[in-house]
Amino acid sequence: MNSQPVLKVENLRTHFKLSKPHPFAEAPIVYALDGVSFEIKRGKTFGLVGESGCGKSTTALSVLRLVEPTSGSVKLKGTDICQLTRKELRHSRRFMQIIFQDPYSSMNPRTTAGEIIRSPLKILKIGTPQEQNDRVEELIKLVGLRPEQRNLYPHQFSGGQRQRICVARALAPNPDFIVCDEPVSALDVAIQAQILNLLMRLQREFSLTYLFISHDMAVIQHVCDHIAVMYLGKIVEKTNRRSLFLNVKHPYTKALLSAVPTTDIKTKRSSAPLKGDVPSPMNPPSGCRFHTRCHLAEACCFEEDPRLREILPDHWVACHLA
Amino acid sequence: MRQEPLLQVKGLCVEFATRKGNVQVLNHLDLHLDPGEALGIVGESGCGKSMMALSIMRLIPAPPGNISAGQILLNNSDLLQLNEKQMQDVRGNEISMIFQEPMTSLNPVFSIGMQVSENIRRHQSATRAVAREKTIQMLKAVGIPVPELRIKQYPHELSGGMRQRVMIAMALSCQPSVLIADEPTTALDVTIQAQIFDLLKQIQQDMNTSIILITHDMSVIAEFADRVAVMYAGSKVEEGLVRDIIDNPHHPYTQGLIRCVPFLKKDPGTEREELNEIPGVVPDMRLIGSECSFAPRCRYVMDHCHEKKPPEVQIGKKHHAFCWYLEEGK
Repeated sequence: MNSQPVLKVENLRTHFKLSKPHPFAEAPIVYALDGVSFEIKRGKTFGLVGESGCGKSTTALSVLRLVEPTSGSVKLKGTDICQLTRKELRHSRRFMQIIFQDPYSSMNPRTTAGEIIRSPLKILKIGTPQEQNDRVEELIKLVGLRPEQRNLYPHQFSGGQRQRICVARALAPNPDFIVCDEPVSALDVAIQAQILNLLMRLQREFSLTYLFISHDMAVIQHVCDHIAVMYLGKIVEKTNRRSLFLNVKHPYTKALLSAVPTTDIKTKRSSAPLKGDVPSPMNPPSGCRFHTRCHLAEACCFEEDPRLREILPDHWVACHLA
Repeated sequence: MRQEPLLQVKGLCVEFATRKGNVQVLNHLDLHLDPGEALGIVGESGCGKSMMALSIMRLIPAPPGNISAGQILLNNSDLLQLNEKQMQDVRGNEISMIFQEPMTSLNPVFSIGMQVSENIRRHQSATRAVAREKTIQMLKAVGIPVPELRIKQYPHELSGGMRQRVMIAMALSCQPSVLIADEPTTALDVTIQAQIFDLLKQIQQDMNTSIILITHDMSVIAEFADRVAVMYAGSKVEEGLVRDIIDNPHHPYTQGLIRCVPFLKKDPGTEREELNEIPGVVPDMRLIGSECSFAPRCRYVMDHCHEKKPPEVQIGKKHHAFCWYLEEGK
């Protein structure tokens, strides 16, 4: 069995320089992603969860080098994506694809569904026109659309069908690794279940590897094998899904979990678990970044930044008090 | 003893004129809201939830929209009979609304103090100074720290959660008896969502406001509402107390809606499971005729589902559904 990870991310940092407020000032820096490491094995789903502004999407884009990471390495099947030239990068795009949150804004409204699904094959020069044509037909059936729908335009589809087109487009070059950046957040609950089932079915069929990003703990719990919780550009807790929910350690993860509304009266929460908003990543708090909102914070939390430690087997937490 | 409902919607029909003919977006809708109650309205997009809210506020753009039949009774006076001037005295004063996206419903070029006090000055003919005091008081009530400074700030200077708090302050500034919240937390994080619902609950108790909460998320309903109405394609399909609906849903659509939501489990186990799904999509509203609109997606579909509108079936006290399958099984 191949136990080599498909994707290995090490100490990835992405900082954005903003424009200077005046010519002699220092340019303010947004520490969007500050030292993130994880790996994903073949056929597995790795989930990233956190509030908006915690760096989930920056991770997604940095891993694919759609934004340029500041430092660190991203190894896809052993090759470091960050070291590739533009031409090599383009070639390796066929192994890594992405599905975005809003299917409508990620498609050209003037091209038909068939053309949209075919575009990666054209750009990457995979196959003859006839082969491309056959592949599009196969993909359309695979994601549960009807063959005659390939001639329709994006506005003629419903939200769920549009997301199916995006899934088909991501699958077109037969990738190993797909980033799903909030793929169901813009969809209705009933449609959400359809798309999640489709993604899981395709994963089994083609042993795909997913990096799955969502703000919804329930969705993450349902589809992911491994989960990392992010806060202000750092991973605060990282483990397999069973351990995360059974032995939750980090106070932020606990708060996130108890904020999720449930239909079970027995577990009804008493009051909002977290006060206030996420601090600005331009000027992150000293020490542990969570200390401003943590009800357990002690003196050491204000000074020293906690490192990720393995507390239980395969269960990593960045907290002084865990 | 039965209380007189505060707000009653009776047989409401709303049509929109389109190039391809009239579309009936609400089809003989009946609802009622008791004083101090939180009523949840749940359904997929396009089922007419927001249309219902806009009709109550008389904010349906006409033309192309048109309220073609029905009554909306607030304290037994029909809102549909009022002229625009009279309606302006009701809006923001007796019935208020919070919208989904706080950034688009706040005006970016006015300070938030100005926007909150506008409502107070309009309805209570208060002086500038009195309105300012009241505004600060309201902002404090919705949990905005240092409101004296915040009133000078503009919407872009606030976070999403803060903006929604400002919207709530604005909506509640004249102590309305009915507050309509149309997906108030969809654009917010779960942690902020929890804060906003705590705030709404507290307001409901302190001011005895009745709340209509519109959402597509069953678990939000379970946390917040007392009673819930499930809507599909412009009609109500099931209505009842929240616990009855969640523990014992009868209509096939409600059952599907509850089963397809992934719920957080204490122990998720090591194997992943498939989610239940409702096959198909919401029908084209233009094509709905005199049949059960859920029939094409229903598991229990029968012959007369395609022929006639389903009848009302009483399931328990305050719990009823509209379905042929349930009628047969009675």
